[in-house]
Amino acid sequence: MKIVFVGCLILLTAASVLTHLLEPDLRSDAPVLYWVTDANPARSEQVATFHRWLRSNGHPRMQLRLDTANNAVTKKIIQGVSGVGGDVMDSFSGGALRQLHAVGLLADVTASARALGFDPGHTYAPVASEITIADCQYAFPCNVYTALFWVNKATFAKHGLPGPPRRWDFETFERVGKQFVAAANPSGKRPTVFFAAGLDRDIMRRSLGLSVFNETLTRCTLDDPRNVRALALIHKWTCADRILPTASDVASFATETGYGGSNLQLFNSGNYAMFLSGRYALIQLRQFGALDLAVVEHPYGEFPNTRVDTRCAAIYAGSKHRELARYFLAYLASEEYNLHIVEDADALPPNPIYTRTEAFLRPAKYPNEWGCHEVFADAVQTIGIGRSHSPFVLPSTAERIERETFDGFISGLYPAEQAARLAADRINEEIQRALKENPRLRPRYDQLVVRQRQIEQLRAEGRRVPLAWIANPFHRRYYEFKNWGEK
Amino acid sequence: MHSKPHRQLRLGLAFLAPNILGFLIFTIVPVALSFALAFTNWDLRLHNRFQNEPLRFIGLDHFVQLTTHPDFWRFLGNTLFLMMGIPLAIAGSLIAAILLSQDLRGGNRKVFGALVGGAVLLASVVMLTVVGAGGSAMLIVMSGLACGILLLGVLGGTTVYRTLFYVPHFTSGVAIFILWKKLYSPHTGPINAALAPLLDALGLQPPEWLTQYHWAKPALMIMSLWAAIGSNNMLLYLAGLSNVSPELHEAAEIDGASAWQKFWNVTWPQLAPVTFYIVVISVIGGLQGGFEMARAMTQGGPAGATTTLSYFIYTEGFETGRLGSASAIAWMMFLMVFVVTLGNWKFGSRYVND
Repeated sequence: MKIVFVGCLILLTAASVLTHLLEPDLRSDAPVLYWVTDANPARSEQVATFHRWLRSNGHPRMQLRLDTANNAVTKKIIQGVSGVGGDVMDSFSGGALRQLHAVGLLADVTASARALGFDPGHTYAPVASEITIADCQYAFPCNVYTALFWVNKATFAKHGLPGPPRRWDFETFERVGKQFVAAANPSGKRPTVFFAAGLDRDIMRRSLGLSVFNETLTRCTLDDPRNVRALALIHKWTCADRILPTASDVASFATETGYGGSNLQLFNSGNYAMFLSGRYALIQLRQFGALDLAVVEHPYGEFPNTRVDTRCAAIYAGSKHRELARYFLAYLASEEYNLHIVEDADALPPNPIYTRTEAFLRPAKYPNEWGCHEVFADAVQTIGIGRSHSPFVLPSTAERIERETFDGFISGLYPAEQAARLAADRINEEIQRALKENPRLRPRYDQLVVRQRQIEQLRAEGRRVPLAWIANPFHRRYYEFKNWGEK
Repeated sequence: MHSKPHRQLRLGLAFLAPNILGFLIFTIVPVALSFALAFTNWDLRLHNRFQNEPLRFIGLDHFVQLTTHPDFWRFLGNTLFLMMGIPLAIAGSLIAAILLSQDLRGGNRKVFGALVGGAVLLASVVMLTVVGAGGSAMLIVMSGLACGILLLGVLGGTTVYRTLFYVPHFTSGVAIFILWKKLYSPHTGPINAALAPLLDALGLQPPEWLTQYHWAKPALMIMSLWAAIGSNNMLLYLAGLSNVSPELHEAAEIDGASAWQKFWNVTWPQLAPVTFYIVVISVIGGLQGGFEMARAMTQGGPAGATTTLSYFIYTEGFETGRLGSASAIAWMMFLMVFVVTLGNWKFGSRYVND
């Protein structure tokens, strides 16, 4: 037994030494960096292009490796605080970026961005608020996406209807939607063909002039009657008009979710005439063949708008190779990378210049998509607004609370007014809890509360508000739209 | 010179050292740390290698806050609701074990009859399917499956049934959850399809299992019940049944006891220690459970209807980074488990010892 025991010990020790010797860092003559990202097959090609870009531009040698197993935010946080985070980390929204920033995992790249040419000036204006936190830049976009409706023109034609207009208000959306579901579903039976897969509550609220937070991001304003109106409209369109599917309808479709979720499969099968997504949906839609496609905006109340998000790359503050990792962010602003995104249709390229190329507007292999691409690029630049993130509550927490109260409302647990009030109360409670737990936030919060009172006073007097006072990107744009602000 | 017993002791300790070290490092130390942290303001956003905020002792603040936190009571309510299935699950395990302890193999007429009956039923179902005469596809599928299982059991004996009943226990949890999501599909799922004739006759709407607030918890409870019937509880009862002395049954038979009287007066008291153990373990598991299935099937929704205390620990700890608060919830849960188990010991062991 003793021999077995010692044998096991020797074997395990030898295996440990071997594992250590096989580590990429030891086997490579150049520093090895890890990029924590999703398992998109395009990433390998992007890494290969990065290595070529380094060589052709005379940048320092390094070896970038993919880490696609640790992309969840919780994993990044746990590994990050343990000191073993990836050198470059993807974040799938400005909200997730704030979660990583709140833990202190991100390196400030403001100075490097200016030196190496990846500052916010090299991407779309609405994205700036997503990649900067308290005036410091922490990331650069890998791609940029905005939520617009993909339209399957063949589905409309099949039911004898013309496609929807590019810009439309709630009334038009409802009228066309009712016509569509009436034509597409036999009367007296449970509908299985729907006008749209769903709507974006944030875009709806914004189109009525309301954001989740107030101008200074110090208070949740979901208890506003405009939110109640948005909720009531969604309820009517889902439960009464049956333009949109209920959760029960969605659960009843016998489809498995592939890339991009089940919406794309149901769009292809004709169960949904439209679905809300970014340009990246083409990665899957191209697999379905040459669909007859169009792109239209989200319906609006009085203020046409769309949400702009970004999958962005940030540098881990604990990385041994922070200096080298900066080059990867510079690569994201390069022509080589941007053209790669253009070709792959992985949303919009980080640099808007490349949305004016022929390769973007009219890809030779996909004539069925012509006319769609520029709608996304135009929307980002004309009606696109970044999300409203309060520094006093984690975006994921605010989103969870909003979703839970909406679920409660849509399943009949409480009326719209109560759902709206409940969401606001709970998010505001979270803000107060964060202030109590983190006293460092208090001075800034108090300053902003005073500023908020000043804004409200000016508004009550009918005077213009300096736009620099407004921290919420939505309100800045809305004040401009309503001519309430001054530069 | 060391004596032989000393050498043997050292050798034994050397053998045990890896296990003891692992237990200390990965179990005892984290448990002790989590207890200490429940009384601090540890928050990942403030306290980690990149943030220099000092860790503060805050006494019972987390515990006081929890008792006034409406979510805590709501999620405790959800946990207790899901635990209401435990008595049914235990009864189901016992019935399954009793059925599986019967020897079905053999050449007696009853078994032969079942074999022939099953074969005829199966053939009829196949014929109905072939000619398209089946009124309900689900009925055909279910009947066919039942016949197949009956035939398999008759041919293979109780081993086949025992294996089939135990399948849920060694099948991957996520695979089961996805399967049940499909079974619960409101308009196309087999459960509602099977219920449809009855509900139509009563003029009722089919339940929207996982998507409706009031149905989501019962849906998870039913699934847990199904999984628990064929779990380790069933194996424990099978083992317990095999230990019941046949002489006791023979004596009862001689006294003219009916089957029910034999069960109630002989089998059930003999199984009391096993039942006691199962109740204790099930209650502990029930208070701690619910995370995996809610995460995979409902994400804790709709509107928090399926969020249990263990799910709450996850959101507090890993979504918001409040590890001190998450530790406090974990210790509140431990306290509940401890009190309930004490109660079980105090009142349950009386029946066991009797």
